[in-house]
Amino acid sequence: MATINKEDGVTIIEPEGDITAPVDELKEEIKSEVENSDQVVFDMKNVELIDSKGIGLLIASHNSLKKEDKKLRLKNVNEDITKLMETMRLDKHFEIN
Amino acid sequence: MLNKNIKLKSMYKVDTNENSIKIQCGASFEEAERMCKDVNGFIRKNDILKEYEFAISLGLREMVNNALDYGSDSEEANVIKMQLLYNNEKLKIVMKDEGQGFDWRKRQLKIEIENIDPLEVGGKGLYLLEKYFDSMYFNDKGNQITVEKNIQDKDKT
Repeated sequence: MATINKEDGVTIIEPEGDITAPVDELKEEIKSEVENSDQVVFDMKNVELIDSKGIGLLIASHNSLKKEDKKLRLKNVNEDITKLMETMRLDKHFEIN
Repeated sequence: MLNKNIKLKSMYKVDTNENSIKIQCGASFEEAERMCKDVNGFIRKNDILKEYEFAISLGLREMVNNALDYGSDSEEANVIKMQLLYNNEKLKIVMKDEGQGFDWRKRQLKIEIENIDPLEVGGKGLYLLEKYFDSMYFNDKGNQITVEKNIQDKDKT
């Protein structure tokens, strides 16, 4: 489950908690937003943990945006998840701050 | 013939003592979620484990995801058994399912990050377990996975 807001053409997706399996519901919830936005930001302020399924959801969103030369941004990412993204070399692909 | 609409009685069981928590649950996301929450509660009551909360929580999720995806034939009646135990030097998590078993001999152990495509959607669970724990091994059949972490080595991820 996530709160979705749009500000000046930017879609801000704020998951209500951890992004862990099963992620199908969240994936369905954000699908059209990701497809129809110029820029997508995941606000991770409520996310303490993300597992490989959640990482897969972010990668799928990124891959979908990249096809149209758009980029995924993550904000309010905690230290553990930032380290995890670096470990997976995803910090080279996502904008994280 | 079993009516699949009948909700199966929960087989959830928890057994804790000072240095371990043992949980048995049905192979469903609902029961797995309950397991993860109970383990988090156990971690937060133990000073030694608190520092490793992220690694333990991540490891537990990856292990239970594998048990649900591959070890349970999508049958809620199947049982998943988990045990987390620790002492002053090491923590260990063991997860067993009732599946046919993972053919771990075919997998190249100790995969290097350079061999993983960062933008591939799946296939990262076991890599994360290897990265966040000091050792990972399977039983002969491949339906039980164990991870161990040296909890004095604070410089490890």
